[in-house]
Amino acid sequence: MVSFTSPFFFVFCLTAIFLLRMTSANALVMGALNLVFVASFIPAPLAALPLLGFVCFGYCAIRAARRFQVNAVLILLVAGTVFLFAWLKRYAILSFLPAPNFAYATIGISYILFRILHLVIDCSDGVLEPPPPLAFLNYVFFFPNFVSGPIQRYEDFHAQVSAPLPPVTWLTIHEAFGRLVKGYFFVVVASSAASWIFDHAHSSFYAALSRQDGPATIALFSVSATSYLVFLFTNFAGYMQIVIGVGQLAGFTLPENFNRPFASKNFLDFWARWHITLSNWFKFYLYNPLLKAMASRWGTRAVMPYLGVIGLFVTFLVMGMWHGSTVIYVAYGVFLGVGIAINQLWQVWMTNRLSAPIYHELRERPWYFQVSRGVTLGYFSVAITALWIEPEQANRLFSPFGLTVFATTIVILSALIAIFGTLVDAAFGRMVYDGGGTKDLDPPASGSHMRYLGAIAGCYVVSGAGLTALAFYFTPAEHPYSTAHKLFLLVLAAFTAFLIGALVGAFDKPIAHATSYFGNRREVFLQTWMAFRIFILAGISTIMASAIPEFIYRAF
Amino acid sequence: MLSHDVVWDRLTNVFRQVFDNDNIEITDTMTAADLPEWDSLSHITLVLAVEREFHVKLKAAEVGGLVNVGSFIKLLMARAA
Repeated sequence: MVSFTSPFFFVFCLTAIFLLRMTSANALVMGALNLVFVASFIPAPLAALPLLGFVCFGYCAIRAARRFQVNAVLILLVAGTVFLFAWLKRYAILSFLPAPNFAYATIGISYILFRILHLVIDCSDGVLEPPPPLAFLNYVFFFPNFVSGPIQRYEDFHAQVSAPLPPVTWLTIHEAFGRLVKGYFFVVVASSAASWIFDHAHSSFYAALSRQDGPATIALFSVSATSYLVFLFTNFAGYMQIVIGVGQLAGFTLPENFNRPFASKNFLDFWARWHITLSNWFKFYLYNPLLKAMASRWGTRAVMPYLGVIGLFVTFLVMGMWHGSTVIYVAYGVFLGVGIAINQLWQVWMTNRLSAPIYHELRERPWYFQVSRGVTLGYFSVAITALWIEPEQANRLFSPFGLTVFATTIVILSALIAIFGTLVDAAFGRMVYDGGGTKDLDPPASGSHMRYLGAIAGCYVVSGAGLTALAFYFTPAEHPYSTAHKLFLLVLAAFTAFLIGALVGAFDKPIAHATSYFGNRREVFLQTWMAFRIFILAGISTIMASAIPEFIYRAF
Repeated sequence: MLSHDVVWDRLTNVFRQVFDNDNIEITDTMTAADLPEWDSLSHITLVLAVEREFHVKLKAAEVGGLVNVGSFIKLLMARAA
């Protein structure tokens, strides 16, 4: 299995960008690149057969859907595709069926399923024409999207491959560079740190759970759940930054999968910001049609909100079940469904009780936002326990003791996140949770740009110093540092974090607004900026290669 | 094919009825973000009302792809009777 920090990945991406640019994304060249990329994940030709069989079945289903354009046929084709997928993925529901008696690869198949179903449904509806075989293969196996999405829509992909590639501008390089640095920083540094904390916390959590030590179980469960959430986010969103960056350099615009989920106003809002292309897919092909069918039968104004609750519950139940093949994912789906249903019911209830304008005004209040965000993130971090817990421990959690711990942890975590969020926002100004990326970073409506710049820079400096302080805490006592040495490393880490902020482009927009550099000297500015960034990157790499890694390594 | 203005006119009425607000003025660039009541739930109410008004049946990809008023108008100009 290749990793995106392996030399193969770097060489492959550089070659792919170069070849796609040279040949204006020729379909055969793209096909060959996809083949090399996908093959690198699969140990033997035989192991690829089930995946290829699934894709071939999918293509036949698409053509059949277009040919018949009847609902009965469509239902049969969708059911057949989902059945084949569930069988190959060894879903617990189908465990009574015999499996192929050899080891085979299913990498990427969960996302291929969505691409195929989207084409089957849209071709049956007559909204899309079935793509030619090579275009189809390039779409389902497109290398940046292959491993874990984003789930791009075919018409979007098709429009990009059939039009001339956009030229490489300094702005493209500038943005892609920021994405790559941010992505690698997320994956290599942030997610490793979170996963280190998680590894330690969750084994202690299991121990506390089995000896039924209430307070310790709750505390360790909270740490495990939040560190896993941070790990999942930094790992997934980091990888998305990398593939979107590579895509940009090659001339393709891939859809965004994350939009600052930790700034969510509520659980409903969270799903518009977290794994966006998956949520959108379910909205298109499950939530909307289901709600539409229910609403056309029983949809009076009074009943509609409750139909919405049912629609959301079913959608999240299915979405949860897709995440894995064992029974615990059904529980995960139910838990997500209950969360979203409560959120929708709460909105209906509050609107009826307070009237829409007053409720709207309440939602705009900062304290309401903080509490609501706290509950949302607290609930979600506990929900994703299903993604990491061992089956045996899950059984322990389904006991009266376990469920009490579970419920208490949600309450405590929600409160802690609300307090933490309030403190962060109070320290850096409320605009900070709207910032920190190269996109969607708008300056505050009031207040000076310099203050805004200072707030963002402050965020980076404090996080750098904070992480280092944490590293000191974890550094084994047999390797003590003198106070002067510690202070030096703390300042160094704070400065490095500031430089990383500059590298990922966190200060671009405030500088842009303060100096209007996007005026007529934009090219010169971007070129200078790029040169400076490469200089910073080289500097950081040198520092990391000498002083920092040994120190961080020892701590984590 | 219906003209832009005819669709716009009839669509304005649909919006006003669905959102129960006679002051709504729709524009091509208007999205759900501009109208607080326009959420994923009322989107379906809106789609059903549009289907009745224009005698069309919208497909899954069309329902999901209607992100602004302009895309409604464009689709209805091509499809509506």
